[in-house]
Amino acid sequence: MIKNDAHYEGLAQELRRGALVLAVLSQLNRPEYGYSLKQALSDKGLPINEGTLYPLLRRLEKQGLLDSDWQVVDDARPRRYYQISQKGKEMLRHLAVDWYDMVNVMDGLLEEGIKEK
Amino acid sequence: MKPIELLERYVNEVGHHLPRKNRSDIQLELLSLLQDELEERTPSGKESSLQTAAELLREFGKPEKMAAQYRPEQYLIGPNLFPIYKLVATIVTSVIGGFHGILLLLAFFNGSLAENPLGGLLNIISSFANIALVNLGVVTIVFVLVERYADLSDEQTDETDEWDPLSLPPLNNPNRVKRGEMIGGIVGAIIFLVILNTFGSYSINEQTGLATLVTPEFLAIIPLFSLSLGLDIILKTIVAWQGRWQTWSRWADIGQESFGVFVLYLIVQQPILTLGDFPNLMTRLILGFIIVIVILEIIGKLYRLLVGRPIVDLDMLKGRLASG
Repeated sequence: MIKNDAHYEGLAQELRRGALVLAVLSQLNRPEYGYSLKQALSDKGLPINEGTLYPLLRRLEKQGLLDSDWQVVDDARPRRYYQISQKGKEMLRHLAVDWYDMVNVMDGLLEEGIKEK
Repeated sequence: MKPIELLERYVNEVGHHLPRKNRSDIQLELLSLLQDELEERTPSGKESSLQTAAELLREFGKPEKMAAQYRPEQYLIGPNLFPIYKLVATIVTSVIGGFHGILLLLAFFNGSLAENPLGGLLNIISSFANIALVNLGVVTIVFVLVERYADLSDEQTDETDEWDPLSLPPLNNPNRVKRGEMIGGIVGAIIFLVILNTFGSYSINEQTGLATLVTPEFLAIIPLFSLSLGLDIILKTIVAWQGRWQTWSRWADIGQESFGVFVLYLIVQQPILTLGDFPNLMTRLILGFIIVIVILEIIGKLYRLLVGRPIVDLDMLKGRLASG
């Protein structure tokens, strides 16, 4: 069964990795901390490994696409909350357009590819 | 040990592999995230267990691996600088090698190697290795510092990295031989072979009063010299007829050149000319220089055959594709 193939897992991960930045930016209109974002994405069908997500948030912040600060909410422990910045919103708009274009192209390619099989 | 202590140990270990900048901030955040994850896995009303904490950390991965995710990709010498580093390292090693080749030559001619040739040779090789390693180390350190402190981002190098496709060199199949040149070389070698084998006997037999130019010792080596030339002629004839170098003929070429070096070495051991010490010395010096050059050429050919980029014969590939 192909899903048990080690190559499948690697290739599937590569496929998901390509969409990660877009997924993360799209979910940070409201402030979220790392764990809550991970849960939100997982609940919406995009599970992400913590070793991938948390450093990604830092990287996006360094690139100016996210803002972050430490907050204490409801007397809980201090957490670092992330929210999309103005630059991030603009980036998200452009990436979203690229994404929709790519989806159209991929739909066509896959339809062709599956039909030939 | 309590679960929180295990998490703190993990965060502490990750910190050892993080860059100093933002280290404590990342550690604080990581600890907070780990505590969130641990709470999620612990049934409400119960205390989290050490086992759960350990399982959680296993999923997060080894501390150095987690820390690596927070660091940008690091190179000792990055892909932008590496080609230049390789070129500089090659030049430095070649210059040091060339210098030691001259030392070897001088040692040979001033008699330093006469008593203990192997020991003398080993000394020169050892000196080359030491000096080459030290200099390569210095070159490496310089490039590591440039990589570390100079801004060599891809965006920057891409802007200055313009090139003109029209300036690409023409295709040169290194396996193809220029028949005309090869035949010229063969004819020249045959002429030299004939002269070599007739000149000596002419001078001795005719006794015209002309002094024999070459010594009896040299005359005794002529058969071996002729054999070397003969092998060269045969090999080049075959290669010229086939029109291309192949792996076996490249190995044969190295073998034949090595034999030629051996014969030249035998020649320079003895006096060659009967014209006096100075002409003799100059002739031996020139031959010794030729020996060094040919040895370097042999080393280069060996390197290309064994280690260098494979020689791609496009004509042969095209032929194979056409014939299916």
